[in-house]
Amino acid sequence: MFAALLPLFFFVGTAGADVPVEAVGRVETLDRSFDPHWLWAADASNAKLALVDLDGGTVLGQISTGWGMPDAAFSRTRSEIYVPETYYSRGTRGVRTDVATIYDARSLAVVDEVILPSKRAINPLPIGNSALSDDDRFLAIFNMTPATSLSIVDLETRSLVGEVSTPGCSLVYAIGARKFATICADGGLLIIELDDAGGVARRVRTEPFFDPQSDPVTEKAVRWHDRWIFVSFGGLVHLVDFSGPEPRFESVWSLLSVEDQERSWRIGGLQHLALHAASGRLYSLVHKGGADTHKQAGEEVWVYDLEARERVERIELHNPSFTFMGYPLPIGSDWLNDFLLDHIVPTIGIDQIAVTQGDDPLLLTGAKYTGALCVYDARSGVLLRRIFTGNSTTQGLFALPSRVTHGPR
Amino acid sequence: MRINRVREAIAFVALALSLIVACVAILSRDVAWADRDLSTTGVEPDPSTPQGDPNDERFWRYCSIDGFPASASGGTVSSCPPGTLMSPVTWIGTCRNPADGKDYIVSYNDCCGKGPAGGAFIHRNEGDKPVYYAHKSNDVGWCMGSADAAYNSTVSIVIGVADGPDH
Repeated sequence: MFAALLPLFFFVGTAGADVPVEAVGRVETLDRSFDPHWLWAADASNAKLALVDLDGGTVLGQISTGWGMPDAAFSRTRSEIYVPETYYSRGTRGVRTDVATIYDARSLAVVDEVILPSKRAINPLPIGNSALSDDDRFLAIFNMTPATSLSIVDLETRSLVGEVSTPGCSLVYAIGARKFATICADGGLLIIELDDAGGVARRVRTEPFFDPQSDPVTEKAVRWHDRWIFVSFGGLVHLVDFSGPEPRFESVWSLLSVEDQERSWRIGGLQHLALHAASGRLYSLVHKGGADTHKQAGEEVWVYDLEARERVERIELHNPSFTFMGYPLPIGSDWLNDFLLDHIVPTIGIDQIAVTQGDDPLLLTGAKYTGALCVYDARSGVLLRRIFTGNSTTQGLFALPSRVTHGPR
Repeated sequence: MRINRVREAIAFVALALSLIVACVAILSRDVAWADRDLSTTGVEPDPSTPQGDPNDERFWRYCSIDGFPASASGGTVSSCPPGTLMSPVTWIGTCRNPADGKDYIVSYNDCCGKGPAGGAFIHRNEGDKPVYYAHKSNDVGWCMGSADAAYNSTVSIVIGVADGPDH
């Protein structure tokens, strides 16, 4: 009898448990502004930056970035992200408007904007087109018409405070509380120091520290505390110390041994350097090739101990997988997909690398023809997982600097 | 007598055939020379070879290009697609023409005002320099010199023979 009534019991029991009615119009907010294992991946084709959780492999949100290569600067003291953007009134034509858009780092919503001179540089570089001063006060945006200059935005008043001409010198790198460096065509640097109002307090032009004709440094430098590391086409490391009043150029050394060079190993890629600041590990994307292959995709990542100036590891790279219009294109089940990508399918060419900061750093690798990324343990070089960003392409990887430490507002 | 007439007829036919063959041969040779002359107009490589084909990434003028060739999207190697604007400022490369062995200065003007042309993206970097060395950099967005600055594609215009050390 009880058995006969059991189905009815279940029917009556479940009939009362309706799916709860939900509110319309709810929008998520991130529970924190930054996380050491979060990464922003740039997709110029879709004009956006996608925020992904590298542990879970999930997409957390995105920022639309306007025309050109997506760029961003991340505040250390405010829960804000600054994105230089370019728009045309008719999409690809019409009146051009350049703007520094201020996003809330948790809601990813626009909170304000500062109109810029409509001449910010458009190029495919993931670094060097804007820089945030170390005191979080000023954002400098590189202009090129082709005359070169920097637009200076005061982030406390959220206003444009001036334009600094940088004749013969390009790009911009933060080197101190109120100081920026630009690279000059003669192989030297132009140092710009700002006053409290954003005007030029001091301007210093250094002697050349590399030969731009015979072996120029790439624009894709990495910062190691108060030092910036520039690497030349030929693999020479030019380390510049900005801790003092004047920059100090340290002795030059090579990422490539004589044997490496004889075997045609070279540095190269769209974003070929990454660094883990705490451990002093430099990550360099390398390939086998000849002259003029400084933007060629890489085959391996070589890891260097910066203090010892020696290579400590070689990491073989895996195919990150394929996407179409941002949609993952797995080849069969997970294990079959991994097997085929690791052993059968040739790599599609890794263009960019990044390393997260913190005690358990991750190495990320991306390729311009896919929105998928590979995530490695940066210390062991072991591939941990493949993740999808929702992007169609990958043109830049922004791992947050270790000094970004603020939590929820 | 009849035999002689037959011999004469055979000789005539042979002579006629010889003349026809000779004329065809001469005409063929002339046509061939005409083709060769046409193919080397401007002393450029044969268009049937990769170095002479603007649709091939090995096209000799593309030695330092980094973008979509205009010839694949409605333009030519020296003209932009319809409705675009050619940027007046640009970067230059120095490419060796295999047809005459000379180095030429090639101007890579961008075509602007429409979205990216798509198709084959040609990424050759011979002599390319970083952005801070702008006139030799193919990473600079040269549509900045145009009224409408969105990038569409790139032409490869020969503007002279290279004869200096900085080319």
